[in-house]
Amino acid sequence: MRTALLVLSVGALLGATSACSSSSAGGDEVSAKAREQQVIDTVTQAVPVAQEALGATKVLVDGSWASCPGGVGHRFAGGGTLSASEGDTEAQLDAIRTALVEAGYDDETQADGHVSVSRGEVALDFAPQLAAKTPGTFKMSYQGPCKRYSGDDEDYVKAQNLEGARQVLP
Amino acid sequence: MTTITVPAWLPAEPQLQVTEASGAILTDVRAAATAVSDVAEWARAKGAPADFSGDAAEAADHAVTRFATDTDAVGAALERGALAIDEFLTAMRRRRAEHDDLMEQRQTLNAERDDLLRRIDDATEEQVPGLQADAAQLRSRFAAYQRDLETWRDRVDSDEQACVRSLAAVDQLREGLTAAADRGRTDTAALAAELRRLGTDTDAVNAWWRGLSQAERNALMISDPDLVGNTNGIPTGDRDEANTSAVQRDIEHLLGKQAAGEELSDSEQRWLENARSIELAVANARTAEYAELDIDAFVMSYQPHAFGGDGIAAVAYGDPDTADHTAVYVPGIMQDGTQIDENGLQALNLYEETLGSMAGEDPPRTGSVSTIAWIGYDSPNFNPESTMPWDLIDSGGDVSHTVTEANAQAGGIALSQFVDGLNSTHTGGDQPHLTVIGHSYGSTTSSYAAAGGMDADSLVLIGSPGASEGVHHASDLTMPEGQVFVGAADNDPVSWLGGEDGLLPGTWDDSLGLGADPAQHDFGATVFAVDNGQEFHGAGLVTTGFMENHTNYFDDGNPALASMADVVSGNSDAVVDTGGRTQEAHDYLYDWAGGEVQHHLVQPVVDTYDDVRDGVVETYEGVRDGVGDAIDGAEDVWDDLWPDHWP
Repeated sequence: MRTALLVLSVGALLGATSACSSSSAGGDEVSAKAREQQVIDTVTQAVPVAQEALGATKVLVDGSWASCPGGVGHRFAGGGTLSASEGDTEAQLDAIRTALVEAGYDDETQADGHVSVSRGEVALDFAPQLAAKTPGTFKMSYQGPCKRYSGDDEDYVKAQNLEGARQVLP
Repeated sequence: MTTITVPAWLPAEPQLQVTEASGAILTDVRAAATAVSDVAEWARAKGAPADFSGDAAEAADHAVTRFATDTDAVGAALERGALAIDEFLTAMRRRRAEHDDLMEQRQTLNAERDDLLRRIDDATEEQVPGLQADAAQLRSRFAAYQRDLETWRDRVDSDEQACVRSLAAVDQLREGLTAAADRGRTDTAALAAELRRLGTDTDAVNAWWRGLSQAERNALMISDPDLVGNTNGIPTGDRDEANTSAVQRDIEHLLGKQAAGEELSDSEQRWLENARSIELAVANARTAEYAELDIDAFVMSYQPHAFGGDGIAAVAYGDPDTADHTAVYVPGIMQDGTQIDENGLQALNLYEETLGSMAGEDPPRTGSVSTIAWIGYDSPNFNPESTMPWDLIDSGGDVSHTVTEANAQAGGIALSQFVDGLNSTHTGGDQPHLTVIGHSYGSTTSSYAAAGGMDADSLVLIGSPGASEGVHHASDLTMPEGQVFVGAADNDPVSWLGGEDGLLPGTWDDSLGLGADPAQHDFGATVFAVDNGQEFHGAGLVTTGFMENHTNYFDDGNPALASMADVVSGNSDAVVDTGGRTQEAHDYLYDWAGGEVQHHLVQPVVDTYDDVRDGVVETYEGVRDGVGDAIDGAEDVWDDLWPDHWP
């Protein structure tokens, strides 16, 4: 019995790992530039919604291509801050959540003191930045999906990675 | 008429234009001095070409020797210049602090003046003598402030003039030659030899370094930046200065080659990637996300040629020599010096979350934090962009280390020494509270260090493939009671690898693997809640399992990040223990493998039966029922074939 199970398990693992070694595993179906634009579009639509919900007066968001934390693939990611008046942070987070859900973002919050949403393959998180110099500051961060790129796309994401962060908003 | 003379309102004194950012010029001069020192050393080691003889050889020898002497003179001049700038910047740091004190005094005096004016407005005749006395005392204090301010301005002038004099003294070749021949010039070879001799005794290194003069430290940072920047026990600020010069030297050298039309070799490309990555890691502290936190970044290690070009790198956010709470983050497989910027982002997020969680406590807690991304060991890795099997052959040996502990064992020793260095350089004695966080294979490395007696206060293992051989329980990790914490996502495939038995218990494969799964309830650690991630099939093992579920512990919104921040800030009582796993790690793998077999083999059969039942034979009840029975039967057979647990 154990041998039969081992054979089946190894077969399943081989099936998965052979899929991993193919160039398609994790490969993006769109170009890096198209993916970047998709992420930026999602962010530039979401942040004004949160800004309005907070009544934030100032927004600064940047982003860049970076390799993914596990070292496999690249993603376009970044973040920034929204400057709002000091207030009841729970109520402010509820306002952000409500506005983003109404705007079509999926609420995926798991941690207290955060609003985590996603749309498409882009994940966004909003939370008060309590240690900020300016009271009332909210931090936002976002990540596009980790994808593997090859050819010109790979050259592009690696070159962009070296350029560092560039402004996305305002 | 009664007169009360109130001193004039004190205007603000502009802050000095020389700031910490001005230190960049010192980095430039040191980088230039290091480059010149390297050239001089190279020239000294060369004579006439081997095939020269007679007068030609003598002439060539003479030319090379003269070139070496002249280059050394330039090096000596730059060394003096760097020292002058270093001393000036040190003086300006003091002057800025004095300026802050003066401006605080000014604010107090102006406030007292305003208060006196208010009291005068409301005063009665009887109160006038008392107010005149108060005004006289205030005038005296205003005069003392003005004297202090003048003295401060004189000091700034004197510092500037001293710096200009020192620079002017070596702005001619002749003066450089004199400086080079100066008997009092620091013997950097002897200093470097002594530093190497002290080796891993971090307390001794620290005491020795602090005993050097500023000129000696400056000279050694120029002659041996790689040694100074990577020796544990040297203060973080000095390591940073030495390493930053080395990074800049390397980038300029390699980009210069490219600009000259030379193609960089593979190893040079890798070298450049190491240098650019650490440069980015420093720059990341100033991105929009963290701009409101004013984070100082320090390059604590930079060895781009280590481990066959994989490189060693470490960057600190916040100064660990003065921090109340310090965390060292140890990444796992696939991480090398070219990945320090990405790993730095994890440390940055932890830095922000830790300060934020302290500020969010009731009442808010103050304190300084430093988080360090440390890639100081040879993490098993391969080219992640490989698409063909033969691309992996050259790195296959490295990959194989993932299932052995050799790299983790060596890494554990290096980690322990790094932690010793942090304890030696803290200005208040040992680190008040130091946490080590190991992720993936880095958790095995961290466990190895902990089991060997690493001098840390708390240990966090996340996404762990095993807590290292010989560690059966949290108590084997030599941390203080209750200070071992674990996070493991149910759908993180790397966390399925832990376990002291192999897949075939009691056989040869027990010796493979990386030790016990620390997320087990019986292991005895505090297991905190995490984002368990999405389930996956097939290639999802990489795209979802590895690229997402295994790597998102530091992401904003993952409950794991908040728990790690509580551990780092010393608020570990706030970490909620979920109780840990009651199912063996291998059983997660086993369940997934079973799911794969069912997903790829059984389910297609069931789906086909379903299609037949729903589509073709819908009107024939008997046949439909028969098919339904067949489906149930197939599922029963599957359940019988695939038991709940690994047999």
